[in-house]
Amino acid sequence: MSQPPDKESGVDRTVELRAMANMLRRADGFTLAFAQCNQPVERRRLVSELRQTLDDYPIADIEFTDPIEHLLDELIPLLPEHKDARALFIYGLEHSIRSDREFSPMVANLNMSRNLFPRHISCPVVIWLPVYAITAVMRGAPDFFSWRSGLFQFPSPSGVLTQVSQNALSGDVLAIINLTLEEKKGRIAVIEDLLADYESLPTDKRDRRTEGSLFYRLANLYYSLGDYDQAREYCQQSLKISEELGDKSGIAYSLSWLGNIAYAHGDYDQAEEYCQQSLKIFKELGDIRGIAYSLYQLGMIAHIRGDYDQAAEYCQQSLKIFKELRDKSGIAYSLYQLGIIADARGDHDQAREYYQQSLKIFKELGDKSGIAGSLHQFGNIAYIRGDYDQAAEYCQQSLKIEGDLGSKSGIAGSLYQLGMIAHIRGNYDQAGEYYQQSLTIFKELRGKSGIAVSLAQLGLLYDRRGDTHIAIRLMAAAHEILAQIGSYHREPVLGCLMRLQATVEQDDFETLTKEAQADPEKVVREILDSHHSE
Amino acid sequence: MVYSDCGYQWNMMKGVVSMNIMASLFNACDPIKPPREGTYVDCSSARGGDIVYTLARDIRWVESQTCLLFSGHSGSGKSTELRRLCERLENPEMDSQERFLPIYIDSDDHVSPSDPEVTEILLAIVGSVAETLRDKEDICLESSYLESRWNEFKDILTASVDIEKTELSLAKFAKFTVKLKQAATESRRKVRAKLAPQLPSLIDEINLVLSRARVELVQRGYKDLVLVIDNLEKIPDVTDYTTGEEIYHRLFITGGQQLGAIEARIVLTLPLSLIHSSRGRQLAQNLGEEPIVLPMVKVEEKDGKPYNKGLELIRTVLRRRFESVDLKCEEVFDSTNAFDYICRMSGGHVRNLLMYFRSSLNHADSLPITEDAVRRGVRRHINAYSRSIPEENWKFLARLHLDPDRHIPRDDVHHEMLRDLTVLEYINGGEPWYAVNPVVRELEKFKRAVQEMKKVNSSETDGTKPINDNESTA
Repeated sequence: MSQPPDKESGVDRTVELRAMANMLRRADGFTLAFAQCNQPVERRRLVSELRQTLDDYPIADIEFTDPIEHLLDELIPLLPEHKDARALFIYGLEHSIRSDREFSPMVANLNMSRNLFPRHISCPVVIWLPVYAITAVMRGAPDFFSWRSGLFQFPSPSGVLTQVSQNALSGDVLAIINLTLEEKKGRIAVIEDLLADYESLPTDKRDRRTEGSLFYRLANLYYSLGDYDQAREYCQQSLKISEELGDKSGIAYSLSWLGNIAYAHGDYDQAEEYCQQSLKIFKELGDIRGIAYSLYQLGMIAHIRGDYDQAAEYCQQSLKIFKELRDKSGIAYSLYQLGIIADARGDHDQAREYYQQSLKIFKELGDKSGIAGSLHQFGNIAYIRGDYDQAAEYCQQSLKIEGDLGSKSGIAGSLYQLGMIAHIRGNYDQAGEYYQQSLTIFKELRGKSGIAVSLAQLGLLYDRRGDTHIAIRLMAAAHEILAQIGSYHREPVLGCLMRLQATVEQDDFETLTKEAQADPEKVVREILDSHHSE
Repeated sequence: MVYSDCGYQWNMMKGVVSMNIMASLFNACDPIKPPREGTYVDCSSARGGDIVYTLARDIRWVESQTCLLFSGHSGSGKSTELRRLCERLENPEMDSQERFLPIYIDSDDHVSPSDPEVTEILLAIVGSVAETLRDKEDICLESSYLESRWNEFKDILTASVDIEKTELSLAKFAKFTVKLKQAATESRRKVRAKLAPQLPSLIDEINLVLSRARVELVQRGYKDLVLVIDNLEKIPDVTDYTTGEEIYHRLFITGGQQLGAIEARIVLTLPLSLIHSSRGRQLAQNLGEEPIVLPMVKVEEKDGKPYNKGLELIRTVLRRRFESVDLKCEEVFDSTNAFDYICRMSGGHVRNLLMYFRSSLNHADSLPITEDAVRRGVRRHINAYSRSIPEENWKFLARLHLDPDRHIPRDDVHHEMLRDLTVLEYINGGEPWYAVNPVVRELEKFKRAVQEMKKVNSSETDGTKPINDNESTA
């Protein structure tokens, strides 16, 4: 027998397979081992290699495709048909383990019934699990786990890793944005497992660049689910690694995403700073796509601040570059943003034209998020035209898609729009319900702009009901938030506030507004609490 | 191709021989089975005293009734020590000492981990006592009360499980609880519901049965029987979703009162984490005894210096096993470094020691095992901790590591860490102290956390503020 060629102490599949083969050949009687492998395809490859190595060593494959409660009880009836096997390989127990933290009856039963295993099984048992499930067994069945005679770790092959990581850095946001909620969650789990694999490698074997891009990808995924805090954390990790490596491109992309996240939180100054930083680096690097993307982001920021000329200019610039690059996705988003600017200026015909152009491309690309956004905007135009049935229909369609995608900000936006429609139709209770829902989600996302406009709409409803004092408080709080973030929405809100001012005593008005301005978040809490207690 | 059959055959032979040695060695170091005859090593001198002696003494000293609480890390050797206790009680070392009949009850057989209830333990006691007395001394215990209870709930179970109808003795209760454990939750709950209002009278009846047994045993030269209830500590501490009740509370606190009402000498295993919590104190008060903990074999001093006496004992544990297959340490390992590395990494935990040895052996194709193979084998287990330890726990581990007293607070986080062996318990004289598992200390994350904790500590003593997280974004 020749010595294995590699001498390093890291985890290597050949070394692991050899060790497992050694154990299987030597073990006499019940012997427990775990094999950590994240991908079923890779696992099948490993098992078939192992079979070749072992030669004439019958292994019984037992795969569970559904959750089970008691492994041994499931195994015992299967044993007679595998009586010639010299080892049992068990797969699929991860279906009975939801996460590494949650209680799993299957895992608890492993712990308690461990003494019964050697009474029924007299050969080696290898349990194949992804890394999170191994952790769950380690935590949930420590006594069973402590019986192991081997723990074999097969990190995912590097081919798979680079594939995933390249996708992540290509800026192909489409790959993420179109996934359904379940798919997004699944992908998050896969990437988190991959990261754990990387982290478990010996220092000299670790590939920080890939780790960085995995963090970046996770940030995108969490962003698309509306979990901005988690997204920011991962984005900062990715930024940190890029800085460590002196990877300027990586730094610029991370900064750019941090800009998106800050924008979603309504921190427009912070967002602009990130964008300017990333734009500077993209220019240094001559990364034209990056430049176009930063310009597009700056356009969004200028728009929300009410600086429409500047916003339109940025968007036209980014549109021009994306067209040169033939980047369809970039073109569609720039057109869409130009439509929103036109809408804000009151040029709805122009806006509709932009939306139609962008929708066509979104459909071509199958970009569901873009489609939902366009439908939402069509709904808005229909609303402005007074065609409320049409508006509501668009809105419901967009809500459905956003729901499928799990995009919380999209859902909140659609609910808000539905509130507006109910409001204008005179269905005040229903409108209030929608606003409360959008407010709840925006609050959870800490999306300040969304919180403020929902508050303002609720203010109008209270005013109509005759609760002028509450209306003033809500309006004042909304105005305060909008002024803080520098949003153009503050002007119409200020108009309402001034109208309300005329209906109450001046002293009362001042007390109410001062209070609300001092702590707008308190107003938000109060209005949500009062709703829940109803 | 040249056929040199001599060399070929010789190679084959060598392969076969080394294969056999490797297999024998592998099977001599089984972390699951109790030590084979002649391989047990008494580590009491590095465990703060002889636990078996203490338990046996306490059992002898009491007049009639006691409930000794016994605990320790999973895999630390509790079951091994309890079996030794049984052996010593039944066959005392000195002629002057009284004999006891140990009744060993493996709760794994009788109690459902996800739905445990003290009723099943009570029934298992009756069944196991009857079974042991029948098998060992041909004594047949009877109870008309228990017979009629039997008739009440056997119907509930006949649908789902099959109980031998011909069984006459109370020993059938032992089989009954085994079946009950396997039965559907609804049947189990029906049985319990029937028994719940009768629990006081059931306990009373059990005490009567035990008195009857005692009389019979005294006539056969025993002083008494001793109930040794093992493996209760393996039940996980979860909340029962259907009732919202904490399992530990239900089984050990509420159930502890009922067990305390059993008039017998009892040794009961408990989860280490329970002993360290306030509930544990409540339990000790209910039962009137301080828990006895089987600590790790001390392989290092509190200050981290190696404790040679303990290390030597741990080396002996492996050495005895090697010797049982006619191998010397020098033949098994290529260096003392390799041997010592495993011993140190075990943290004095016997099962871990055997587990790490087996893993190292997996990475060796022949003897002696190289240091490289040993490090590879242990590395896998180190890696596993990297993911299982939650991010927020590293600072607690660093704090414990830097604490000269090596104390841990009595909170859930630390109980959890005792349970999954992230933290190990030692005894020096009388006072327990704790150390971070040596394999965890190998992790970069741990080293970083210690560095950071040191930085924070020194900046605190300087009077300057700790470094802010936000600095990196500025």
